[in-house]
Amino acid sequence: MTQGRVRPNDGELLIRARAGDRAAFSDLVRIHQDEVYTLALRMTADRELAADVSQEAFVRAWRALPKFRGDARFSTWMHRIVVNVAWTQRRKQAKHRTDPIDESFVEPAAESISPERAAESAAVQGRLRAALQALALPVRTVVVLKDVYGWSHGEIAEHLNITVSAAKVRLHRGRQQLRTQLWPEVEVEA
Amino acid sequence: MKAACLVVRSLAPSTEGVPPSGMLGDHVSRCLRCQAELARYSRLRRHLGALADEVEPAPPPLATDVDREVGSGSDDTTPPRRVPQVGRVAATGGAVAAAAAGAAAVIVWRHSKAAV
Ligand SMILES: [Zn+2]
Repeated sequence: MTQGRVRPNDGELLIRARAGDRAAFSDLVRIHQDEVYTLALRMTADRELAADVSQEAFVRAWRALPKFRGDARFSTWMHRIVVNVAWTQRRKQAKHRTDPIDESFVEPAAESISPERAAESAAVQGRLRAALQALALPVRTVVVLKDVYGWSHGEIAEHLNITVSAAKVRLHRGRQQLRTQLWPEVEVEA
Repeated sequence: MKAACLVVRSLAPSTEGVPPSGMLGDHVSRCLRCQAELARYSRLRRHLGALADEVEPAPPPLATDVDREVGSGSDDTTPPRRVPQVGRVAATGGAVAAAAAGAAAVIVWRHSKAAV
């Protein structure tokens, strides 16, 4: 699972938030909102739904704070809640019109690679985001959790309430579709 | 395309960067087409992994919407309890009803005593 960035204030804020300090929880929300929203957006591929999922996830987190034992990082715990909320709302998502996500993701600075490589990489990343968005939700969810966020098949199966085999099949299918989308010209050599 | 190439192509999405072993591995070591196909999946996984470092800014109302939901119109710092919101309201309502019933009973009892 992703390690995220170091957040030295999480511990203190969490102690205060668990004691009912709403201001401390509000600070936690502001620290983690981009990360939470990004995951929600990757899962839903829809900005409006992603905002709804993020809000619901934070509200659930507030209510469940007494149960948070601190054996996982707060960001990891939030990720699990986001996945659960997004997954339980998937029927709503299926009905919702998916608007194309623009290319406004903030990319990390490309250090120590040539401008040509960086440009090629950025182009692939852009096509990849569009291809991800085009995947069916159950397939996209598994690909995002496994290949973007580094979840294990076991974790994915548990949180989506599917078998490990089903998770593996969806990952296989998803990668295959992404590969075809990214390099279609290589497909016609059979 | 050779049969071995088709097998490699069908297995490639799940190889996780580990080349096939045995006869299929021997084939891959000699087949540029299969090597290229496996390399594509390695690149795909690398590009997907890179998405983890990208962050999409949350819409500005998100944090204030959460504040409002969590605040629930109260500015105290009562710790969030495990009793769900609905249960807490019901429990509080029950306690108020019980107290009211008790007070009514006392009044009725006093009235009846006065009548005697
Ligand atoms: Zn081959």
